[in-house]
Amino acid sequence: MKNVIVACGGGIATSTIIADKVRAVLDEANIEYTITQCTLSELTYEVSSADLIVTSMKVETDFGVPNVLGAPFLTGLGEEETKEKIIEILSR
Amino acid sequence: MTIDHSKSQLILNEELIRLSIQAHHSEEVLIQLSENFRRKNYVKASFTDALIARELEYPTGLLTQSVGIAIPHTDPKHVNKGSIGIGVLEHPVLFKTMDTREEINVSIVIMLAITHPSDQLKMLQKVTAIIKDNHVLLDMMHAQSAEEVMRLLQPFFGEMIE
Repeated sequence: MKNVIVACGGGIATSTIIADKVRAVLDEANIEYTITQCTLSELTYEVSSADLIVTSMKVETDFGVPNVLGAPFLTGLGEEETKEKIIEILSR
Repeated sequence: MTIDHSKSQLILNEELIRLSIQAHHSEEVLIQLSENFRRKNYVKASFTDALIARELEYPTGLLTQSVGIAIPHTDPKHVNKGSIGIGVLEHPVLFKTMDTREEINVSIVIMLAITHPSDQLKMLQKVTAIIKDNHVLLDMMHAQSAEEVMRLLQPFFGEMIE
């Protein structure tokens, strides 16, 4: 079971969209997962159990957990690469 | 059990669409576009300030293949009724991008007033579909009336448009 955290500024709109896309990617790749949504400022408290963080914004802090930017899911630009990266990280 | 359909809807109507917005700064765009929501009482008086503050802290600009866009939004506590507004700018203004905070020229602003994000996921999915559609974005930029924008968006939202 992989734990994925999706975080955006308010933990509301953007992370809901991104989490929806991440679910679709993981379902298709047959990866078992749980997804938690939170705000970027809550990341510190949520991150300890995570295998992957997907964030709307570039995060400067190194949480020691792989981090992928989720904006490509909104624009479609670089979406395939992002999907592949997520699968690659969670297949390790 | 009854299902509250209104919760899952985000209202989009002509009165929430504004074309040829004249602004020099992103804040002016947010003020002008949110006025439409205020007038309809879809948002609380605190919405505009909250929107501006949120945009400063967590910008919402997005670079697409064709047009720079922004999707400003803020906490549901400032919202009365889930709704979407669209602003097309006469001249692009600078917004910072969501992911890297670099400044980009934005010509279309899709303002989201959200009350129940997980229930309104369907509508949010439509918004991403629009953002990914270069033709629709370019057509919106050249639209002559709010009615025309509604026609362009009809295929995405279908019956969900009020």
